[in-house]
Amino acid sequence: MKKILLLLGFFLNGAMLFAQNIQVIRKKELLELLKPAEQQVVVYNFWASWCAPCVKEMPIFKQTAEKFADKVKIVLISLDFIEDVEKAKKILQKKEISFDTFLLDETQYNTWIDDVEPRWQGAIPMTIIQKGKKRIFINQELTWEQLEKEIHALLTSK
Amino acid sequence: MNKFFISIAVMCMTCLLWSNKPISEGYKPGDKARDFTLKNIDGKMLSLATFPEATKGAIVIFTCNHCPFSKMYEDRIIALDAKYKPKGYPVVAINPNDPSRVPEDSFEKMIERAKEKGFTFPYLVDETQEIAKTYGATNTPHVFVLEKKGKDWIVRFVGAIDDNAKDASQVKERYVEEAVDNLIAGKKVKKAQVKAIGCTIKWKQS
Repeated sequence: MKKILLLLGFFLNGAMLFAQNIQVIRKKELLELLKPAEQQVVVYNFWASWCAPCVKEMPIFKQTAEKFADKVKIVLISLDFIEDVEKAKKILQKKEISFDTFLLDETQYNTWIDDVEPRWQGAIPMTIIQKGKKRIFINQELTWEQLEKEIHALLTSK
Repeated sequence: MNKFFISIAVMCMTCLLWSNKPISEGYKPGDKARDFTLKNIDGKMLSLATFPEATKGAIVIFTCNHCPFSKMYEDRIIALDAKYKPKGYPVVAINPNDPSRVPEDSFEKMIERAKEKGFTFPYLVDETQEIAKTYGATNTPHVFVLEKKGKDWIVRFVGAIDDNAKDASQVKERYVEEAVDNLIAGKKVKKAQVKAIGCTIKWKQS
């Protein structure tokens, strides 16, 4: 019994370190998330555990969350299949992403890609940086310098 | 009435603002597609014009080795070729990825993968990425169904192969098959543009 408790303790400890929660959402909730906020810069990143450049660029979103803590909101949306949610979770934990993220459970891609961004053909990684009506759409792997520059531009814009 | 005119004016302004946005490049259904001369995995150069089976058109698919979504579709691409090559619409696969960014997409690995899977169609390398750029391919896999009109190749469909990448047995809409069937029947392609999730093309970094 003690052993079990000990094990449980270890497990909880591990989980506490990076309490990563992936909220599974559908199209309706996604479009709700994408609604522009007048006063806030929001960075949306569409990724998946199978997408190497997505995983590679993930640390820059952690960096954003740290550097622009109160000014920028980060919304990570995994496009992994629902049965791969644990794979996505593992990567987020490994990359020490502690804020809540999302997984979009909609595999009828053609029914929602245009609603997210008409210029987007569906390739990932895809990042949107948005403030009010201003929207920057980037359909490739980002560097920290690029992302920081774009965020700055939107933060200082009226 | 005044209000009506103001709203019309506002709408026009919005349209103008919209048109200032960069227009997305690449082909849309109805556009004339350029032919290409690219190296096949057998070492020979291939063009649409000299591709003997492409009598009515071609199913041009930008794809690659490494992308999980491309892999999920390999068997379905082979099936497309089996079904439509005899009808004059053979598959032509093109790998546009920069192998220095993804070693798995090198020319040698293309040859290996084609052998492993028993590809029945040409698997070309777009070394300069010029064809992918001109066509406006952004994903792998990304399909362009072309119809041959005299010496011209007209884009009739752009997009995804079907509506279920994960599970071929659960597919409800076979977009490419429907498009080619429409063309063969002499009809207008019903769904000429369809989007799907895929991998970004790995462009050369300048």
